[in-house]
Amino acid sequence: MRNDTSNTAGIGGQYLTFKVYGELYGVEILKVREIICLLPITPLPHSPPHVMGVINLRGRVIPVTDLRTRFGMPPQEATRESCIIVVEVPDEAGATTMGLIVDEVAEVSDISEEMTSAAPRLGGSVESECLLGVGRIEDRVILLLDIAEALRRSE
Amino acid sequence: MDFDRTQALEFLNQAGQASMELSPDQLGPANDVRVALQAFALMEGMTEDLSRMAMRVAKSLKAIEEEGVDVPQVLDDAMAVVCELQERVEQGDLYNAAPAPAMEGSAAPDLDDLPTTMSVTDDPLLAEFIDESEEHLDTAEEHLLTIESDPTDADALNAVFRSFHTIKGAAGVLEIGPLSVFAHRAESLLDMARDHEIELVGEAMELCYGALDTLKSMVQSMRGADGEVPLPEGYGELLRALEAVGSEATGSHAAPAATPAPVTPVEADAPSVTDASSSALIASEDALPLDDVVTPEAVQDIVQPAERKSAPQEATNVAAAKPKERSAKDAPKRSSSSSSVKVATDRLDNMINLVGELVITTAMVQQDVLKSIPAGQNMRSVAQLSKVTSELQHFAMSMRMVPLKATFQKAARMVRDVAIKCGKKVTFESNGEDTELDRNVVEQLGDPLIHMLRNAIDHGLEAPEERVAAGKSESGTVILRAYHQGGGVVIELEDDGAGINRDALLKKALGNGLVTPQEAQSMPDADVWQLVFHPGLSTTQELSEISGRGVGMDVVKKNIESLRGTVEIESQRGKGTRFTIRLPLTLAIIDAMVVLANERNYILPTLSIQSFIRPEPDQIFSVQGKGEVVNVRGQVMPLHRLHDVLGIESSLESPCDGLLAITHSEGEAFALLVDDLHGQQQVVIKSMGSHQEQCPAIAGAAILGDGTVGLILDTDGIARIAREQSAHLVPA
Repeated sequence: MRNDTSNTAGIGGQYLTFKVYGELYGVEILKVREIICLLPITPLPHSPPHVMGVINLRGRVIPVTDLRTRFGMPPQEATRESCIIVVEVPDEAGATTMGLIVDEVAEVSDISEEMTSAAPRLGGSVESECLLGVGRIEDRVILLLDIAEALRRSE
Repeated sequence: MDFDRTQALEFLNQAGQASMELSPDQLGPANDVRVALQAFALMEGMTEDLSRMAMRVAKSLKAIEEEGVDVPQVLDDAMAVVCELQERVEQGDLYNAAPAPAMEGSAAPDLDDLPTTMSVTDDPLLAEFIDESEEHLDTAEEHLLTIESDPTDADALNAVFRSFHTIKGAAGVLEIGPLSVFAHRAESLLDMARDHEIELVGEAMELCYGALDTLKSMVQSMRGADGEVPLPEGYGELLRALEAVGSEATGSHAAPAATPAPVTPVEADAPSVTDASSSALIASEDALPLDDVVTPEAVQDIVQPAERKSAPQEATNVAAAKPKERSAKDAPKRSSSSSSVKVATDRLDNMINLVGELVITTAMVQQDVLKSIPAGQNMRSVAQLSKVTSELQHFAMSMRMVPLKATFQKAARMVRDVAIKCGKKVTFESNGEDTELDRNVVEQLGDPLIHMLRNAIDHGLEAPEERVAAGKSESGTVILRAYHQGGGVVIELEDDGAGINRDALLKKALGNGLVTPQEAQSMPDADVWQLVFHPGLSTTQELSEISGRGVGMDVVKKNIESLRGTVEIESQRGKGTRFTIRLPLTLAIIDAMVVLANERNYILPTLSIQSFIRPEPDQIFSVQGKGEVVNVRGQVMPLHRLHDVLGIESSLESPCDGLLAITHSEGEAFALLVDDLHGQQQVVIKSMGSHQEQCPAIAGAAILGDGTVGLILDTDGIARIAREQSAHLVPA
């Protein structure tokens, strides 16, 4: 339901792009609070595998999700480029702050409306429901994540 | 005659606002009041009557700084006159030649045509007014309770009067007519009590409480409102009742003074009374039967309506003369306007969070410094820093502490109301109401406490006859106590009622299959009483309006446990019951033990730990299919491995290599195996967000000295998981 509207309505705008398993993804810049380097993570017992645990973000305790695991890709050891994107996701209780572990942050891109299209049936690991759509910059394809949906569907 | 009513009201508003700021040690605004009143008095089309009133006050305000002036009296007078002028201008009552600020003189504002709504505009002043009024009403309630035990307590009467008076004045300024009128009537009632025209007992007291409640709900309904707000139910009736008691009481009191005649035989005078007037009088007497106040003279009044006619005038004069005497008494009270500042709670919470972070950061800095500089000169300043920080933290925490006073006061009121409803006589005692607790705890404690009190009166105390039959005093006693003990606060609720009926409780528990007959035989009392907290168990069959509104004792227990408190019961058949609630001082910080499991730190609240032991091999037994048990000083208890519960790897081969934390869940002790103990520290509890469904073994998170997150363990959750795990083991 939510995707129907967001796929047809304007999804153009500014996106923070990042790489996970070689693939380029984008998340709306307005949902991003900050980007931090990897911090010591305290694992949570009995949590879904993609929830790596919780971190101390300057006195706040926030959960961290590994996007590789979330999308069913093989995990990798943290590299120098690995970092945590802190996003604020609206939910019933207002907004939840959480971290996403990605392989590498690329840049902030302006993706105009005409350069976007609805999410194709990928059949791959990323469910198309978790995508707002697909954007193109020059000859690169960026998968625009509906981060709230991706995190909600994982529960 | 052209009279600009809006302009007149504006002048009065100015005067009113300025006069609100006036106090004997703050005479600055007096000039503003004076100027506004003069402008009002000199307006075109102003009646001579109102003009004279305004000028008189203006004149006395001008002389206020001269010596020998009774300042509080002038201020009171000014406030009263401004209010009256406002009322009269609003009602277009410009010509009524009432002298002096005789409140009773300003006639009932068309009582037959009562409003059903009041109009409120949403402005910043209103929010402030609501906050202040609620405070005033709380004060009034507190003092009403005092008056109830001692109807002649002049200080308490004055305090209630002042509260109503302030609300009236402020409501007038904000142009909330119905509220102002109502507060005025309530104030008049108190005024009469102050002047000993009536005594606040019986129905008059009920009326006072009714007025208080109505004012409360009016004020509450205004919060966040804009536009028309419906008046609370019973507004009209109460207003009329207040009005009635005004005329009744002044009449009955003044009449004997005017005619100290002997009681006239009823038959002799009766014919002279017209049927209509006598029935009207009796009707009004019915409307407000002041049982305890009706004196022989009052009875005489009923049969001598002719003399009553002159009475109100007398009374008015008396009332008019009184304010001067009493305002002198008020004077010292007024100057004690508090030296406190109101701060929004979210700001306070933010500050406390920040201070919490500061404490953690300081600890981190300290660790780093210790590591990098062996014994450098920075140590001194770092030590100083951590000292200041911990002081700051203490201080910040104390800002969140509030006394239990308000809660106890609410309890006192509730006890009174419930006792009347149940037809029981109750003496309520409370002490330790200045004991301070975190405001979050206090807020969440209110409901459970009220529920327990209700139970104590409704179920605990016997009816007066039964009490007498049992050789007790007719009136039952309920005692509420609060005191500090061992870093926490203890609240005790004690009644001298019938106690809990062990047999009835056990019978019910047997019926529900909670206990087996054998268990019931040998069950110690303490365990039996705990059954009270079991959902679906109540020894009284019928649900009354007072108890049994769906909040059972199980909810009470849950609420208290969610505050990380405990509740115990002691009861003796025929002697009474005592509930003991133990609460931590604050919810934000806990004393904790940091334990290690698989090289990670976990936090165990110190409150839930009895001891740590390093077990010997001969203490540990394996029970086939049921896991392990350990014998600790003769007590055999189950042994749960933290690693298994959390689903993490363990390097421990035998429990003897680790450490056992002896803890408990729902009254049952168990041992929790961990790798090692890392130390003790105070931790600030952090919420983990509601995003994930949490593992029941984890109660929350806290940030440890090294900046990492430590998970706080929940012993109840651990026991539950362990039980489930061993249940899975059995079939395998």
